[in-house]
Amino acid sequence: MLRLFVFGFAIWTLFLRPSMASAQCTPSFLSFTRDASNMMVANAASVECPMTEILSLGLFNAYPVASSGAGVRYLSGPGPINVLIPSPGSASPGTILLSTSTGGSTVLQFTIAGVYVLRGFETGTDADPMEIVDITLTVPGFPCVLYSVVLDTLDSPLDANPNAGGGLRVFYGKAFPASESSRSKVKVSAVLTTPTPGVELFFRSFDLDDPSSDAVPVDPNNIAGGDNRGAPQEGTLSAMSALTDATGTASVEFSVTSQPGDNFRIAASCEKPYLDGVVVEVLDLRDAEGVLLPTEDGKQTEMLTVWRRVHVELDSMGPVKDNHLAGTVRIVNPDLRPGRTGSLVVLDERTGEPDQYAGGRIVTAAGAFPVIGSAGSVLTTSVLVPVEAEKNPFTLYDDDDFNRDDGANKDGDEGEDLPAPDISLIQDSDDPAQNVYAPAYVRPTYDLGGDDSVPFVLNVATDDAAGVIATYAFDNVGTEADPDFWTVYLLGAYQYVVERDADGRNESATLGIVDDINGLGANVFAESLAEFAPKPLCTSATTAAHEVGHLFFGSHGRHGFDGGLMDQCGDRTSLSFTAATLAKIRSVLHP
Amino acid sequence: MKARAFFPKSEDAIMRLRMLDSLTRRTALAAWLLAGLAPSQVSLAQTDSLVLEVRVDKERYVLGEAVALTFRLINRSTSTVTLASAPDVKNGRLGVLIAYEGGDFKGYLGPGWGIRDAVSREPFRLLPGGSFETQATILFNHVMPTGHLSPLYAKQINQDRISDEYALSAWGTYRIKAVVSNSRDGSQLESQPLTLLVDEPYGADLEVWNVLKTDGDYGYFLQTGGPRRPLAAAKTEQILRTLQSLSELWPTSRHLGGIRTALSNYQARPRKPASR
Repeated sequence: MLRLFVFGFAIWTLFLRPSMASAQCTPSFLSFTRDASNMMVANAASVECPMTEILSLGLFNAYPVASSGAGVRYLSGPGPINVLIPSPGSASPGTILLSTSTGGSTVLQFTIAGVYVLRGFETGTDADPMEIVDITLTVPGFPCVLYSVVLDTLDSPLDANPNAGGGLRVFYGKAFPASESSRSKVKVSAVLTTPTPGVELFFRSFDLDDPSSDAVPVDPNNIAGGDNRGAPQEGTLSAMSALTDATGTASVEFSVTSQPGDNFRIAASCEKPYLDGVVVEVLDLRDAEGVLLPTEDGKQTEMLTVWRRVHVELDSMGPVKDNHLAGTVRIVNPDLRPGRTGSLVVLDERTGEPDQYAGGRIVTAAGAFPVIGSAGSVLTTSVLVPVEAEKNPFTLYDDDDFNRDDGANKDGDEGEDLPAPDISLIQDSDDPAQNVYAPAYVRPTYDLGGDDSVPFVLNVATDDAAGVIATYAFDNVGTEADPDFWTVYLLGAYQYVVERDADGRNESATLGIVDDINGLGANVFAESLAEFAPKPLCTSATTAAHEVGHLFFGSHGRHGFDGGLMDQCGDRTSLSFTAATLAKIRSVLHP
Repeated sequence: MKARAFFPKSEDAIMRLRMLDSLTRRTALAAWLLAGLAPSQVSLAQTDSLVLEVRVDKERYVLGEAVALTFRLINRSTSTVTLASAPDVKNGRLGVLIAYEGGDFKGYLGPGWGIRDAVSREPFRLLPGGSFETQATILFNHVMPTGHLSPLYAKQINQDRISDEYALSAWGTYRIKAVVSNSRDGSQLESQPLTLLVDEPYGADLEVWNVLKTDGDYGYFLQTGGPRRPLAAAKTEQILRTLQSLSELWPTSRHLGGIRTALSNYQARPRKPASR
């Protein structure tokens, strides 16, 4: 009771005494104005009743309100009452709410129709005030000034965006295949300069210009915003406004779009009309007065850019086997053609494509001999084969030597384990020199395990999707079409179809192949790469990066070429993706 | 029965031709007239040194039927023309553009097109007066999904590419042209467009098309003789059963030959990877 008295006296001293005057006690409504320093001040009529025994300041005609809603403003107390009315026009009676707290936990909200004063030691209630007076209530105001608006991790870590424009980046996509979350959300927090609870702050998101390009097809609208690929282009805010907590912080969730390279800023303000006037200017935001944010009335987050991970299952075939022809030597004759110094060896087996075994070796009972030609069942050797080889078994190897360790002793690589494709150009890195997908805001990630003993296949059986897929041991095929968990398969293989393995006379070679555009995965053929002495632009690493590009709809041609790294090896002059391919990578639903 | 079916379709096709602009109409009518005079239709593009032709084996198709194209590159110059490799739809040096009715040409991307990354020991050389011929079919088209994209990009993609899994997905008049591209200098050589008619399906043809159009994978199988997603064995089985059933239920359909060929090719496929 003593504390009640002291509190009431303080209120009387602070607010009422200067205005005390004898008058009929009639209620009046609060009114609010904004002063020159942008302070919101609540005022009422002058006190017209003599006040001698004021014990407490209460509320007239007050009643609880279930919850806050749009347009709710707060007075808070007990103690000094802070008022925030962003828009003076909204400060009409009946729309102003006052919050009180008890023990710091219960918050009640009241509609204010006026104020009343309890006199003496009687314990009046809201419904039955002892005496009603009009007072002048000057509530200490404060300027609604945002200190900042910032982005925080919600379900995917934020870090620095290494690509053009800087700012922060978020990796969209599930953390693991069975996850329910696409990890699209980011926390946006606006903070007042003065820690004040219950203040409503407004938020708005914007789609900034694409800083990586100002030209089609990557960025068709030059330096304008509104060029994100995902929809809705400006992302999605969980709410357009939020109330500050005790620290003066109001937070909402922001969901980014799914396409790599999409970028955003979120602006916050005390006034919704202010945000309504904000527009994008390249990578910045400008208010209706033409002033770049941040301003006193509005703050903005750093630029936030979406990146994606493409999860790669990296496998390789096991040891080479059955890469020889075996049988019996039927006849050995000297090769009497001009300039020839070897033998013609007739086998009891056909040797496949013309000159398939040229550059290889035949091992007979009379020794091993270099082969310089083959056709039908006849071999040509570079040195004479003793007749002792006749009627005895032979083993015939072609020139296959994927790791170039055989020298003249070709052995068909038998027993040698195949390597996985070289991923030095598709590393989990932000450096374009190590990850050619970085300019497309994509990072390959090797978190699906790998199998280095996929059953060996000497040649892909058929020149189509089924033939290529038959070589796969794609354990993670279940997510290959998941838009939220990009998954591709990459297999270190040996040779493409027999007709395209460079073993026949003047035969071309396929260095790598996908099952189809936007298919499941790819083979990278170690033997064919070795067959054509690797050039800097035609290696296992470039082939792996190139083939994965096909899974993102990259194409050698079709109404013009993608060019760059998507060129065929023989045409390739660059290790980078062109804008045509980058645009495709950034636009696919899934690779 | 055949005669009754033919004349309404002919009249209808002619009605549609009247809707084309005058230039296109003249071209289409010329093709229409040629149909009765020649076994195939030839279009030419003349440049200083190279001519690219594309032709079809017939002028009228039914919806869902694969269109067989033959491409011919002719060197009419007095010097040898050299390309890094022979033009082919699989390696992407050869492409096809298709326009429906009076619309713009859009890119077609068939199964396995533009993905074969081959290196050759020798460049492709076309001697003076020489020619090179290759074939391809069009039916299934790889669609780049755009439903997840903002309209700006969806429109951009769909302006450039055919957005249906069947390249010829509606009956009417189509213009088709071939493009040979040289990546090294960015140059392109286009053929003159040819015109073909896709008939509105009736009867058995309609019954078959109503099934095929529900899933582009049928088109993929008909075109390649193999499944698009071999790992999905159940889907492959379903396609095989459905196509077999269609061939039995609608033996008079013009699709019958294509279905039987595809099923036959599938049965003839090697079941294991090649070995020595």
